[in-house]
Parts: sequence; structure tokens; C-alpha cells
Amino acid sequence: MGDEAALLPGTLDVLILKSISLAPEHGYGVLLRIQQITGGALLVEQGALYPALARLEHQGLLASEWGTSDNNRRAKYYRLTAAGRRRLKSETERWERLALAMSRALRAQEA
Amino acid sequence: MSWMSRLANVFRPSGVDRALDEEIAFHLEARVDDLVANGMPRQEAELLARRQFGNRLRIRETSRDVKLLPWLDAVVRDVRHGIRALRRAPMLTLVAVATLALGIGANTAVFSVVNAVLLRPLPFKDGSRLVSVWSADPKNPSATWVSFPDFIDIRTQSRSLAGLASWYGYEMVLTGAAEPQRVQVVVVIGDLFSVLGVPPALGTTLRAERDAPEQGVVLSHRFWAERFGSDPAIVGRGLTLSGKSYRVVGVMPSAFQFPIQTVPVDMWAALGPEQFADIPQMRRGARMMDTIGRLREGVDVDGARAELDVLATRLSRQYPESNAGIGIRLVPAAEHVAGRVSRPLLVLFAAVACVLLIACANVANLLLARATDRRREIALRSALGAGRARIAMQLLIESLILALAGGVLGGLIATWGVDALVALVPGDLPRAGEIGVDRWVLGFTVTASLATGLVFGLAPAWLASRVDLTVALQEGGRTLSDGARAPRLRGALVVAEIALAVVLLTGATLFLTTFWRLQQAPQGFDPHNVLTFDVTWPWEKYSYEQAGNKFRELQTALRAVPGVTGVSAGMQLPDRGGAATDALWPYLEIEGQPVSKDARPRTALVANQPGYFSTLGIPLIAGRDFTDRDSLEAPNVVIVNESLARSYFANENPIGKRVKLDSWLVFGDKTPAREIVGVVGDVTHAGLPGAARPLVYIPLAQRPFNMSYVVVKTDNDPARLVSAIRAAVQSVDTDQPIYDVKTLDERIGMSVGQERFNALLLGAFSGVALLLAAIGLYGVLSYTVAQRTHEIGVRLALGADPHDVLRLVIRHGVTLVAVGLAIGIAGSLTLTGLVEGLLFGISPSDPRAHLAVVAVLALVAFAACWIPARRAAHVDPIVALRYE
Repeated sequence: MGDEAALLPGTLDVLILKSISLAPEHGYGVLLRIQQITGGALLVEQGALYPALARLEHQGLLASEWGTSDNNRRAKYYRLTAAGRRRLKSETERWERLALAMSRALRAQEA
Repeated sequence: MSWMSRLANVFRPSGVDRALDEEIAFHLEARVDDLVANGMPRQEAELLARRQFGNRLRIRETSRDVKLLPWLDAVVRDVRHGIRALRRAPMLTLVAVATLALGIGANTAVFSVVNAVLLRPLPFKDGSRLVSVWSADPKNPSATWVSFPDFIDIRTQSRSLAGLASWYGYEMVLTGAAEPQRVQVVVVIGDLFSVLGVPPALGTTLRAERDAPEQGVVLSHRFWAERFGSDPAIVGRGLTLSGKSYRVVGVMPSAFQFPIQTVPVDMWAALGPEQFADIPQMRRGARMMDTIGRLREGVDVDGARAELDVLATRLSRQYPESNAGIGIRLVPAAEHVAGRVSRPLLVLFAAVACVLLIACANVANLLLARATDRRREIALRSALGAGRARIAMQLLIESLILALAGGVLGGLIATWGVDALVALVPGDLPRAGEIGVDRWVLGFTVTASLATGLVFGLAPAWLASRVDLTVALQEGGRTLSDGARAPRLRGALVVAEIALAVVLLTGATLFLTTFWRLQQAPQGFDPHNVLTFDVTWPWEKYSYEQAGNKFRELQTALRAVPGVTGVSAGMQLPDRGGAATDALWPYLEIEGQPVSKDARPRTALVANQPGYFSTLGIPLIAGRDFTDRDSLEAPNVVIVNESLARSYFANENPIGKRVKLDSWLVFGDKTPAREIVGVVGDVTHAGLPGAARPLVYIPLAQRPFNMSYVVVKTDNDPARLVSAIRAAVQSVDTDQPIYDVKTLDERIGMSVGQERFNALLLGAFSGVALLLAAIGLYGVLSYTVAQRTHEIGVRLALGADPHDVLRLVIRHGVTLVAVGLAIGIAGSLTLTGLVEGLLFGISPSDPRAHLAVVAVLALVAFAACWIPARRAAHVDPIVALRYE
């Protein structure tokens, strides 16, 4: 587990938005999806997920409803709202710009 | 989530918690299932899932903070928590609430007076649009009424005034029933009732200048009830007033009072201009009418002032003889009514606000001390994840609960206090009848409570919420020292309290001295065993000359009453009640000292009967008193007071010199030379602060008036002789009532009513302030000693002298007191302007007053220091050390 990087501030929100953008998902599913899409490279504190979900819902980026899970248990499913989709798009662009800038900067330092 | 459902969440948080719990439970189960599916034993899987999930409680808290209206939820919880916390410290709560209740209660009570007298609009339709209209004569600040011709010009020419009416008070005698009764009549010129916008309760009001053979009168509700038993058929009834017949046309509603004055009005009568035409007093130069106007819609006071300035200039050009330099002055009517009481009231209001501030400082100190005791609790909450703002908020809410509790209790105290205050207010306080608790007063109480809570709660809350976790929790059960800032804040609060108390004490000293000086002899006369009453010979029945004779007859009749040692009469008594004769201020011309007409000085004037000076104990310094031979036919004579003699005859003997007195109102066209036949001592008119002013006495016989005060000196308590005196008056004229019967001592007591009120209230406030400041000082020193018990114990164990310990604590106290005193004295010296003009016989910067305050404060402060200091010196080292 030593290779896992701690999450940068602000990254959890965008990861949640991304994982839900594919299909509605419950909290545990979001966690699995994040681990899956990041290839297990990022460490998500499981407990931190729920305050983040609540916050995003409060901001109107997510909507939720109770449904039944694969194993027939009641679970709360989250999906993206239109605002959530817009946010995901803008956040993605921001991250791409940032990542590009960072890698350029770091390479320049090595040279 | 909608706003509403979020609001609903606040009040049923358990539902939200349950949903979140369910979500988390699902997460954990799914995780366990996955782990088990990967081959982990169930028990181990459950443990791991839990551990990976983290602190459930904390997560729940943070999630919920997002979901609910977080602040409102926090408030509801903090209020519950606050009430629990306050219940755990009942003594502190009790002391704090009681202190605040007293402070807020006193403020509310004083505010109710300020509200009624100064703030509320006059009780007429749209009262804020009413203005008092005055003449402004730069040379004679006291004669400022409006003359009849000026009134007519203003009314017809002004466009900014929608209506204008004048009135003057007048006394008539109502006969026809068993007892002749003196009635207070207000003679109205113009359409007063429509200017005020008040309809009658019965019948009609007076119409302006109506041309009727018989005069109409409108009765006050009170007079109608008292004299006519609220007879519903009163309208149309005839009345005989001072020998003339009038007809009742209406009755005003019970709440109607006009003018707003202390003597209640019995009826209003209209006089048309034709009745004034022949009277010299109705000339343009004779300014004697009170005037009130209503601003036209859309015009403000400044606009109306600008217009009337132009009008006044036009009148001065048109009538230079009477109106040169005379302006027209507008004052909002409510402001005029409040008049001279507004400043003393504001001073008292400021004083009582200071008391509340001191109370705040005390409660803040209590809370600071308590916050130190609660550091472990606060540290614990902080360790569990509560942010600083959140903790500060919780402490602040506790303060607000205290303040509101104090406010509720204070409101109750105020409803009682208002009654006590109304009983204390000086008799001449305008609108005193309107004082009461209304929604404005209640609003003030609530606002004051909330503001109070913020003032005393903010600093302790902020300081206490700043905790260093490691230190606070490590120190464990040991006594906690409280950082560097709290003691400094505590010291600053005590210094502020002492400074405020010094300011209040200084004010109280000044007002008490004023009151005391005003009651002190020498005032230039001897008020003991003197009965005074007012007699007015109705001019409808007696000419002025006849009235003069009547006074002489009356004097003879009264002298025959056993026990009477002196009798006289005068237009003015040596008290403030006679200030109205300022209107008579004639110009003074001294033969042999010619000055231009514009530069002539004015003098006060009193007309009296022979024996006035001996009856009142005013010393005759030179010359003679008036005698019965100084009649209308005899040469005109005057007596002057010492001030006048000193001002105008510095190096010569005034006896035998001649002066002229010029006043339209008093003498009409005639300005004969009058010989000075005597000089009498100055009388400091009680209640009239300032030096004695030049005064001329003339014989009542040489300028008869129909009204005068009669003074009767007796050899014993004059109250015993009232019925004998009444009988003597009736022997002169059976229809003649006497009125306003009081001993001169009583009159002087009344004339200093305002000063008495000021002194009493400020004295009480400063006493409370002193007590609170002493408690604050005592509290801080006790607290410091308690905190340092260990240190003191070590010192004593190592052989320190208990006296040194004593000195240590006292030095701390003395430093605080000294700084507070210095600031307080500086503060009161800068505030002297506030009380200037309200004082008599003492200057606001009188060093003796300040010394007295320093002495009292030092004494009380020393007592407050002594007890904790002794406790420190008597610390038992063994106990102190074991205590750790």
C-alpha cells in the first residue's frame, strides 16, 4: 500500500463527480469506482466520502434517491445533476491544465 | 433539498441522522461482504471495515453540518446546552442575571421617560408637522412671543404654514354655583382646533373669529366631568365667567390636552380680532401670544424657516418702529415642549447607560473567570473537532441567554420602576402623564438586552475559545492558569468600570451640590412662616385702578387676622414661579446717562405693595420702602436692587436719581421719570441659577395690575391660618377665590424639583455604579489570589513576610484603581460641557468635587482590596501546597 498517494485537497470532489458521471451509484459503489478508475493509486479515506457526498448534494451537484442494491439491500443512490455535469467538465479542464503546467514545470527544473 | 425541508431538518435531526446511519451501515455491510468474498473471516472483516471507515461519529457530525441549516441547528443545540451549562453554575447565573436585570430595568425606566417627553410625537394629528412660532429679538432673549398684528401677517402671508393659531392662558371666575370657582381659560385666536386636527367629543369646536354676540367656550373633558357631572346636554348651556356670559359649544375628548402644561386647562374660549382692536396690548410691539402652526404638506421646517425669514425682513422694513431686527423663529413643537428638561433627561439617560456598561463589565469578568474553570470542557470539545468559531458561538449564546433573562426580569423591574419614577419626576415635567411602557419601550428593552449580551459576551467568548489543547489537557486536574490575555482583559474591564464610576460620581457630586446650594440660605430673603397665594381681580369687574384699591383693602383685612405679623403683595415671588414676568422686561433709561435707543439696557420689573420687603425679609439697604402715599397721583417712585445700583451707580448714591422705564406692555406710551427712593438687597431667585440681575420695583398703586401674589408672614406655622385668611379675603369680595395657596418654603421646594430629581437619580445611579465597580475590583483580586494560592503558599513556606504578600495584592488593586481614577477624572473634565447650565453654585471642574470623588472611591476601593489581600496573607502554606 506504500505507493498510494494521499489525496490533494479538492480532488475527492472531482473524483466523486467523475465516478458518478458514468452511472448512478451508492456510496460504497463510489468508493469502489474511484479505486477502480485510479487503479488504486489514490488513497481515499472511506469515512471522508460521506461528508463529501453530503456537501456535493447540498451544493446541488448531486441528487439522491433510495433504491435497492445488487444484493437486495436498501441503499442511497447518487446521480449527477446538470450543474454537477457542468462542474465536472470545468473541473476536468482545470485539472488538465494544472497537470500539464505542473509536469512542464517539473521537467524544466530537471533540465 | 429545499429550504423548507432543510429548515424542518433542524427541528427533527434524528431523521437525518437515521438516514445517514443507514447509508453508513450499508457501506460497512457491503465492505464486509466483499472482504468475506475475498476469503477473510467475517469477524476480522468487520473489524477491518470499521477501521478503514474511520470515526463514524465525527463523520456524522460533519455530514450533518452540511445537510442542515448548520447555524440554526447549532443555535438550537447551543441554547439547550447553554441553559444546561448555566444551570450547573446557579450562583453565577443568579448574580449575572440580577446585575443585568437591574441595569436593563433602570435603563428601560429612564428610557420610558425620555420616550414620552422627548421622542414621541405630540398627541395631535400628525404631531410632527406642528411647529411653535416665536419672535426672535437678539437683544431680549426672554421676550419672544408673537404680537397680534404680526400673527395676522404671518397667517395671511406665509405659504409654508397650512394653519396658524395663537393662544394665551387666562384665569376667570366662574360664578352662578355655590362657590365662586377660578377656571383656567385658554383664549384662542385663530382656528386652533383644526391646526391641531382634533375633533370634539361633543358639539363643535370654536370657529375662527366668529362674529357672535355671545362668546363660545369649549370645555375640557375633565372640567365637564367634575363641574357638570358629564351632563350630555351641556352643549348650548350658558355660563357666567367673570361677570360675562358665554355659551358652551362643545366638549373635547378626555385625552386632549392643550397647551401641554402642568396646570390643566378647564376651557377654551375664542376672541375675535374686533375685541382686540382697542387694546394697546394688541399693538405690533406687544408680543405676548403663544403661537402654533402646522407645516403644509411637503414643506419641512427648514423650508418654512427660509420663507419666514424673508417675511420677517419685510415686516421690519414695513414697521421699523416695532419690528427692526425682530426675526421669526420656528421650533418643532415637540422640541419646544421638551424645552429645558431635554438636557437633564439626556444626561440622566447617559448616566444610566453607564451603569449598564459597568454591569456589563462585571458580568464579562464573571464569564472570563468561569471560562477559565471550563477550559477542560472547552479543550475537550475542541479535541473532538469543534472549530474555534463554533465554541465562541456557543459561549456567546450563553451570554445572550443571560442577557435575555436579565432583560425579561429588567422589563418587570421597569414596569414597577416607571411608577416610582413618575412619582419622583418634578411637577413641571411636560408630558409626564404620557410616561408608560409601550411597544417602543419594550423594543428598547429587547434591543438593550441583545446589545448587552454582545457587549459582555464577545470578548470572553473569543478569548476562551482560543485553547492550546496540549497545555489544557496536560495540566489535567491542576488549577489552570489562564494564558496571558485574560488577566489583562480583566484588569482593563475593572479600570473601565472605575473610570465610569468616577464620571458618574463626579456628576452626582455636582448635582447634589447644586441642589443643596439652591436650598441654602442666604438667598437674600427669609422664606420661613410665609404663606403665599394668588389673587386675581377679574378685569371684567374691576378696573386696574379699582383692583389696586382692592389690594389695599385686602392688606388691611389680613393684618387684622391674629397671628399675622406682615402682609404685602407683589407681582412676583422670589422663586422660579414668577419667571413669566420676563415679558415685562422694560428698557431702562437713566437720567444723566444718555445712550442711543438701540443700546438701552433692560431690567427685570416687579410691582409690589408697601411692606413687601419687610414681610419677605429682604434688607432695605438705603432710602425707604414704598408707602400708601406713593399713589397714582403722587410722584412716580422706584426702588432698585443692589445689582442695579452697582451696575449703573457705581460711584454715586442712587437715591434721588431718576430713571425711565419703557415697555409697551406695562406702561403703554407713558415713560415718566421715576425717582429712586430706596435700594434693597439682591434676591437670588431660587432655581434661577446665575448671579442676581438688575431689578426695579415699582409701587403696585402706580401701575396697577389685576393679579398679584399676596404674601402673609405669620408668627407660627402659616398653614394653621389658611381658613382665617380665606375668610378675610371673602370679607373684601364674596366672589373672590384665592388660588395656589402654598408656603414659600413649599414653593422653593417645588422650584428646585428638577434639580432634586437630577440629584436623586444621579446619586442613585452613581451609588450603584460605585457598588458594581467595587464588586468588580473585589472579584478580580479574589480571583487572582485564588489562582496564585500555590505560589503564595510557596513564598510563605520559604519565609516571605505575610505583610509583603498583603502589600503585593493591595499594590495590584491600587494600580487598577489609580489608572481608573486618572481616566475617570480626565473623562469627567472633558464632559463638563454636558452639565454646564444645569448647575448652580459650583463649577463643573471644581477641584473639591473631584477630590471628594477620589476620597470616596479610594475608601471603597481599599475595602474591596483589603478582604482578598488578607486572605492571601493568611494562606496556610501546608494547605496551599497539599491542595496541588
